[in-house]
Amino acid sequence: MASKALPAATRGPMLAAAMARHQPGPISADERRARLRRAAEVARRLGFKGRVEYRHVFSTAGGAQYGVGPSPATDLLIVYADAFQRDADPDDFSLEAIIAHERGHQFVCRHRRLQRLLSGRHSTASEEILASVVGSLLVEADADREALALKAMADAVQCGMAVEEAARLVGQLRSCLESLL
Amino acid sequence: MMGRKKLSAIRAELRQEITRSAGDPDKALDRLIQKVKSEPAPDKREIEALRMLRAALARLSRPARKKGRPIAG
Repeated sequence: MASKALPAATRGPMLAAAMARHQPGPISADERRARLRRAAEVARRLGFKGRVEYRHVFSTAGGAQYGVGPSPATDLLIVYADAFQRDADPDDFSLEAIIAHERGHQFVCRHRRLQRLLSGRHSTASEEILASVVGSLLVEADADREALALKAMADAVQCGMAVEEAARLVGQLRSCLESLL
Repeated sequence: MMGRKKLSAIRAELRQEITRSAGDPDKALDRLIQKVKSEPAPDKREIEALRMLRAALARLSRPARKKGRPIAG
């Protein structure tokens, strides 16, 4: 509403400034390669099969995105600039946690029995919970394990579960999925 | 997708929800662990996971790490 009152000459630069704030700053080719190398190394360590790409743009996905291919070897993991920005923020998820969540999606998508379980009404929410739980089982750092378990719990609470029920669900899923990994 | 919600926001929401419904997270998770332990065939791995969650929930009220991680590869 307020922008309507502004003259067009002022709105233009303000809009450009707002857009610029939502773009990553430029990085060198070396840094871009270093980011791709680090993302690929983390993905491989977590068991990701397929291609890893780095795109120097901000995403709406939270920093990374998993794409399903005809086979696991052709699956795609895209890591975005915001994954590195979040990684640098001590109040946010690490790069490992972000990639582990996407690796969790790959595991869930590629597991026939889990896919059958996810054919119901709340499949999207359930897949998000499962991906975080799988990720929490794959990461090495305690802080990442806890962060992903808390995310799974929060997603379960978001679906209407009480906190204790959500904790029990995450505990049971960790126990079940540990034997599948 | 990981979603854009920050970990600190997730922590804050869970903290709020626990305070609203269960009170002290330590006590709530202790009760839950005791309940699982008292079941006919308690699942050790589930109990371990619940202990991990109890520790994580207990940390919700503590300040986050001060130092950031390096941004580059």
